[in-house]
Amino acid sequence: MDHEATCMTEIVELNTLDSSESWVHDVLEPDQFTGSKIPYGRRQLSRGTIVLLWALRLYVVFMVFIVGLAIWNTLHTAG
Amino acid sequence: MSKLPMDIDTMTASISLEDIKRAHDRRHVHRLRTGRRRWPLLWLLIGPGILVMLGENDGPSMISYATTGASYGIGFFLPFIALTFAMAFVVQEMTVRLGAVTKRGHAELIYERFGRFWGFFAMGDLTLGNLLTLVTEFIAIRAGLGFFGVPPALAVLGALLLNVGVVLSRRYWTWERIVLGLAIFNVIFVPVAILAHPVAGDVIRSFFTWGPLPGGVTGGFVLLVMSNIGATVTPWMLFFQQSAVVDKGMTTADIRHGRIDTALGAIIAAVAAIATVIATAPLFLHHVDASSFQGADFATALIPYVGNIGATLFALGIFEAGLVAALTISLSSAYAFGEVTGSARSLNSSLRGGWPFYAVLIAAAAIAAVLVLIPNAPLLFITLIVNVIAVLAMPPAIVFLLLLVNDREIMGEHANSRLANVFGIGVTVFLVLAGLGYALITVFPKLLPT
Repeated sequence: MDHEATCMTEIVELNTLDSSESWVHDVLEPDQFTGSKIPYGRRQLSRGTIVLLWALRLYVVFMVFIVGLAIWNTLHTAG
Repeated sequence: MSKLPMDIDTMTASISLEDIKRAHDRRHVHRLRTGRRRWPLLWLLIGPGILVMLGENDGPSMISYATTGASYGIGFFLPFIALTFAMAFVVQEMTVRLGAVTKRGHAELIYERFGRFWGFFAMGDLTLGNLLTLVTEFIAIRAGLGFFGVPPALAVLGALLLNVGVVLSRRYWTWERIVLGLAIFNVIFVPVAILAHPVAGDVIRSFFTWGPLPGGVTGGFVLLVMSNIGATVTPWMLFFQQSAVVDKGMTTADIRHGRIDTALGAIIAAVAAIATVIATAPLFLHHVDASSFQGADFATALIPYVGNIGATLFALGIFEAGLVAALTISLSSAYAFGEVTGSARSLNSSLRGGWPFYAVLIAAAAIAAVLVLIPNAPLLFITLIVNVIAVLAMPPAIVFLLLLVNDREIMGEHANSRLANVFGIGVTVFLVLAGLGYALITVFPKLLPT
């Protein structure tokens, strides 16, 4: 199905397309439109937050090692 | 060329088809809210919360609950499972507020507020976790249908085609209602539990005494604790529910209904999970060794205790658990991909504009389906570690969530209250301690009796 036919089908399916777009603006909040989000921007992370995020990252790396060890133990025991 | 494509393109520049579809859904909500039609409004607004909770009652989770019942019977784990779903509610409720206030998915918000560096780690955890979990969902589909003699390839490809078919509705609302219809079959474990003829007094007593705990605290017990936590709170749930809330078009006015939706999901999922433990408790009473059981093995082993009907329902439940989770987890992968790449991130997207989104969704499910069909693939190995990995990846995910939901610049009056932070931090500490406990018994296996 080409683009024209696809779009036509979708519009017929909706069956609510108004000739004016005002009802859509009435119903949706401004940042609910796909193309109209205002960026929030980066958040300034405090030193404590950065330390916490790194600590948790190290925790994940450590636990991945532990999971690997557990798997090795399981396979070793099974063998 | 006719005039239509130009009109469509013009429309897309200002209002997209996705916007119109979402506006259509929102108009229904506005009408029902204005008309004070309470129950129809609730019906319209439920969805993401129930789906995320029942989606997490997935293949490996149900196997975990079944193993719990077969290993410990009716006792400690019944209230413990209820507690894990209470924790899941605490965490998931925050995603409702985040989605409703910011209108952004979880991955999008992490990238926007913390930057690509931290976003990359969060996405890495999600991508690996989702791939492994999706594989286990297709293992469950294969195992559940295997009980009925369906060949693995047919079972897996059938489920994949169903996933594709539902997604190609190109409508969030349609997808949500179809998956809700499938997900409610998760309570199929309740009649199996009844057929197991549990002693009602034992069930009630366990919630007050948190016991019995046969054998006490052993290495196997700690593993099952980890597995049951991983069966309830996992990173994909955060990403899925927040994105689904946004895709559904929920706003701050809908937060109360979002909470009800999430609470309903937690209650239904907890009932199904506890029913699964009760259903397999006869295996514990009759000393059946279920330590290496897979989905269909449980159904077969249960025949002497719950009859053929009970076993059939159990196998159907395992199939349903895998199918619903495959639908929701593949969607969470696609949402996250769309959010971090800035491309389409909605089931309301047109095929033309949203093809990368749909391609990722279908590819995520297809890769997992193909892996399951590879001869001698380490499927048991993947099933065993998937819930553990979910628990280990959860603390960083919750900390991102807590930082975002306490960010008053974006959340305003909907930022976390002190009480919500106490619960949120409590869940995080609990998960970290559970992980460290697991690490201790892995490094020092003789610390606890086996």
